[in-house]
Amino acid sequence: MKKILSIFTLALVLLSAGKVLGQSPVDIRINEVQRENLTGAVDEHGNRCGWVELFNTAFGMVDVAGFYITDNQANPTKFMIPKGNTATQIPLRKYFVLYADGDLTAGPFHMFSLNGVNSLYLYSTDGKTLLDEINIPNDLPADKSFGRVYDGRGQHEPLNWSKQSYRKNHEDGLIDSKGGFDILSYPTPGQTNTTEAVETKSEKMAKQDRYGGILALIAMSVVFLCLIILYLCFRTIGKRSMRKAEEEKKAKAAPAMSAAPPAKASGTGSSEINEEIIAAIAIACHLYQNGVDNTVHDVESNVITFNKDLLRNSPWGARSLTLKQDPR
Amino acid sequence: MILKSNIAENLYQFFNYTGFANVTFGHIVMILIGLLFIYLAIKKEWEPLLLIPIGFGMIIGNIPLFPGMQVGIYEDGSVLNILYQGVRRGFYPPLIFLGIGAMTDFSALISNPKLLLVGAAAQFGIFAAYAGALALGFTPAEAGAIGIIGGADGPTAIFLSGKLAPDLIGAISVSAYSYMALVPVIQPPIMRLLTTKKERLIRMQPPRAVSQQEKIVFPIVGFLITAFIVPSGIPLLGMLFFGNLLKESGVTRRLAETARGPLNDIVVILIGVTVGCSTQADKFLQGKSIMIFALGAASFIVATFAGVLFCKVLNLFLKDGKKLNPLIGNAGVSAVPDSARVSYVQGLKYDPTNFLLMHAMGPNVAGVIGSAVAAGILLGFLS
Repeated sequence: MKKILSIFTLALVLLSAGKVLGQSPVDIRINEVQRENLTGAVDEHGNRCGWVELFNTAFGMVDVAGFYITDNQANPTKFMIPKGNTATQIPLRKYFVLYADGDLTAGPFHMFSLNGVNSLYLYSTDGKTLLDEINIPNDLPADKSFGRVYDGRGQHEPLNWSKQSYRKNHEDGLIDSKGGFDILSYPTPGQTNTTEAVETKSEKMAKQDRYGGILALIAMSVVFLCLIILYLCFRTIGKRSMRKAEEEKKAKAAPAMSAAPPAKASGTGSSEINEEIIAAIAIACHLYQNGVDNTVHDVESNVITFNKDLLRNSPWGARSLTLKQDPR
Repeated sequence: MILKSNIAENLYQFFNYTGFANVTFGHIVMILIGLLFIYLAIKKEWEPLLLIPIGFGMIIGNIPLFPGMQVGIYEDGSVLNILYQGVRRGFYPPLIFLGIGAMTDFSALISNPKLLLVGAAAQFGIFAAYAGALALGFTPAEAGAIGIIGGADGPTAIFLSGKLAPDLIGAISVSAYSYMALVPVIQPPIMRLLTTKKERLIRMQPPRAVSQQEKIVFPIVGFLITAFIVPSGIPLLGMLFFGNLLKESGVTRRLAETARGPLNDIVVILIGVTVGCSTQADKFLQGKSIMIFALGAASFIVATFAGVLFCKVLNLFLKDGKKLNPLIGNAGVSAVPDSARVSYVQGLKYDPTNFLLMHAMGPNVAGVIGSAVAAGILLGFLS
């Protein structure tokens, strides 16, 4: 019981030590914003206005209904993304656009205007948990947008990113001195912010490892590493297990030795049963089983025959045994 | 008159819908291949549990169809298409791995863990085929999917090709299963070629008794180690070790029996038939398929070479009495339990009292783990 309690406590400590976040609202980022839109995308009424793009960094659908967007942290519930609309369900790695025309009656996804707004904050459905924020430059030109250079990546990286992955993104150039944000070449509402062609892993490998030697080397090393670690683990476990079994055997044998009368059969004084005794017991069993009729054979004929059953009322004929029983 | 013309038109339309109106040479060839698979399964008993569903699936998939009838396997929403999603999206292979885990006894491996290394060495066939496929002009993703044929593990091959090269899934899976069925034909000559008579007579130490505790610890530790190193292999490794834990825990007998029995049988039927169906002549009969078959054969041969040679190399470092019989090296290429059976039969040929089956099961099941790890690595690098 003590052991279980200590394991349970350890698990609790480990869980509370780190952030344990799954695929959830924390995966939503403010991805791109445009304050002044003169020639770009139009809303459902054909009008041009500023907009805010949210991005689902998760690999599962997230519903943003009930989330809050505000430009003032003192008033976190300034605009709530309406509930009851399936459009708020953002599929994995997809986008959701809100029109910032200041006309809340124009449609469910029209929010306050971004004129004069320098910061935007995204709050969870409780209106308290800050999920993301973006600081829009004062001098953002008209028809230009500001956002994350790589979708979902940047200073306010997803909360479930580890420090290592943040550092790696920094090293890979995905997060620069501007924290991964910049004025983007082209406004891309509802689409990826990365406008240059992205190479797949396979395409990269085709360039970097034309003959497959590097991948083969790495992969075989990893396979060996995995199985060597397993080998070492089970060699250790095996040795411990054998030692334990040996100790148990000795522990069992010790009281038996002290209690057992001195063995006479072997004539050596040892209490262990030697091979001759085992052979004698086996022969005795064999003779006993074979009996006079010699009904047990070393080599069977492999011929199966039906012996006529002399009993008239065998179980095969008993109705009570062969008919289905009443389930009641 | 109008009635007559209507009937004639209907008859004409009906004829256009029949297989006779739409048949091509490719369909006939594929149906014949399907019949050959069924013949081999029944007459030669080569992997009948797989070759019969695949063979009959080939016949189903190659009945000439008028397109748009919502019947074909590649037509969205058809019954076959829905069943095929298990292959395409890769949820049948992990279920099969669950069954494999629940029916596999890892005792041989636990009692002699160095056999794990033999299983690792045999994975070399995968990467030899990968390099070969690149040389033949396949993309790295396609080459990875083709290479896994060398793992001699049907579910792994289907899982990986579904992710990396869905267009080649039919050719890759049929190739993998065909060569698995041909293990007793492919491997013995290589084993004989690489071993001396003295080596074939090596008697290995009998495996020690493995405690229940060790058997329970194995799937847990095994999963933690492999999954932490290769997280992309979790679907396969997780289900394999989970199935094994069901078996070894001793308290979930019903679940283990379901996993290795009815559930496994259902998935084998579905995977076999749908993979067979996916070999529609227009998708399957291409130059690429022939290259895939050639690469598959090469990967099996290289894997067998690597396994046997690794045993010989390992013997250089082992003391007398602890040496491995190199005839078990071939078993590293998964194909459970056929390749282990090949080791056993070959061993008996040279010494009728030398039973290698239990020893060969060690590298055999290590090969399953190794190929799942290799698949995870390929997935991580190429998808």
